[in-house]
Amino acid sequence: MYNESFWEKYKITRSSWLFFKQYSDTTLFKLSSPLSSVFWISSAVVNGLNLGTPLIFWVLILLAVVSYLGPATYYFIQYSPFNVRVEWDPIEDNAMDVRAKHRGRLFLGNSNESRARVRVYFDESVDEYALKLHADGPLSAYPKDSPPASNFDGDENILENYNVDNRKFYFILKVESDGQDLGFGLDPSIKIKDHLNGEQTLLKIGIS
Amino acid sequence: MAIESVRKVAVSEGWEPSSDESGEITIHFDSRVDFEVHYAEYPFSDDDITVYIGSYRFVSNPSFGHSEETSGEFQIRPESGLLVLRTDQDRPKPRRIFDSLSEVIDGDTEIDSQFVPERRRVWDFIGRADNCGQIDVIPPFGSEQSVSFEDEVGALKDDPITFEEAFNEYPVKFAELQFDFEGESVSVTYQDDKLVIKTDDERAREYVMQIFETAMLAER
Repeated sequence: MYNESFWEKYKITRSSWLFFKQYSDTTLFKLSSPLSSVFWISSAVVNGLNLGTPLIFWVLILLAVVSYLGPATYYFIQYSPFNVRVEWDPIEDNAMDVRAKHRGRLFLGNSNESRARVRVYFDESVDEYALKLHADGPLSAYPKDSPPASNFDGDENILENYNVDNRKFYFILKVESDGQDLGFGLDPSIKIKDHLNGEQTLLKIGIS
Repeated sequence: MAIESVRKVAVSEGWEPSSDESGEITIHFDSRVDFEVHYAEYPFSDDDITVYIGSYRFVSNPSFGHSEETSGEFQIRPESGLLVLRTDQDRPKPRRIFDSLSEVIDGDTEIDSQFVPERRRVWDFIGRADNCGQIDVIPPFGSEQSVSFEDEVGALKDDPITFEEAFNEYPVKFAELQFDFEGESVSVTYQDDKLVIKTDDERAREYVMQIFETAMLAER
């Protein structure tokens, strides 16, 4: 049913790619990168203009490295082992839906509902999963059916399987709005989170 | 043609139906009926099946826009844990009526907010039909496809899928089925949480509902 891509063949490339992909979406990364750059630039200024002692220069270098690698290390330890990839596409393939997908968004339209197909690829080492479906504000999201042998807990909005046979599966995610304004500027989204691994966000779909 | 929408409902022992109103909905429990078991494999009762039948009137109260009004019937089937909502139209959305029912029916019942069956159960229901017509499935990649039990390949030839390939694996978007009851063939369409049972014979309708309960809710 699924073709094995290059990245799936080697665990280390797969985990590294997933780590960078997920970490680069976090606020932590978005804050640490410019902060680190500030320290780098400051160290260059201090060194170039002979403004301080060599100690200050090296302290700034150290701060730049720590502010860049520290949060990344924290994230890596917190959310290891990076063993799942989740991707999606819209079911409807009209121009509006395809354009929205290019921007990473699902188009709801006037009917206030839409469907996305979500494909999940777990590593062979995984024998249980719990994927939490999180919806912002007036939105709700739930699967149309649960993949073979899995269960959907509607109270917690969690798709779960504690005895996994099939590590590659897909399901149809239905997204509905209760008709209220989605909220200008609030950028409502649907998130799929790894409930067994610190609620790490595995997939985020913006809703238009 | 009536549309039957379904939800799972947990009913505690000792629950007694009572008429009430809350917010947008008013309900009346009209009767308690003991239906005969028609389907031989029905697992929830060997004897009669107790069904509480009620009616509702729903008037939406939106903060803007116009109000919508509808009325219909519902059934609570405590043995299997199924709530069936019978409406003549799809507006207002059954989901809103279920939400209101959840508020108004007393605290000894718990109605699921969505009906999310396991995929193999949907195919089990299809497999129990005496005849299958068109079945639309959604493959892991590409657009929706139709499969038919009679066809070796799917009806849409771009990327043909066989019935065997789809069975138990692909989500079903829509299915046209036929069930034979006492010499009559009953046409049924299934989509998401909805059944349309095309018959005026209440016993035939009950037969299909018992098959649906068996496939979707029996313990495994």
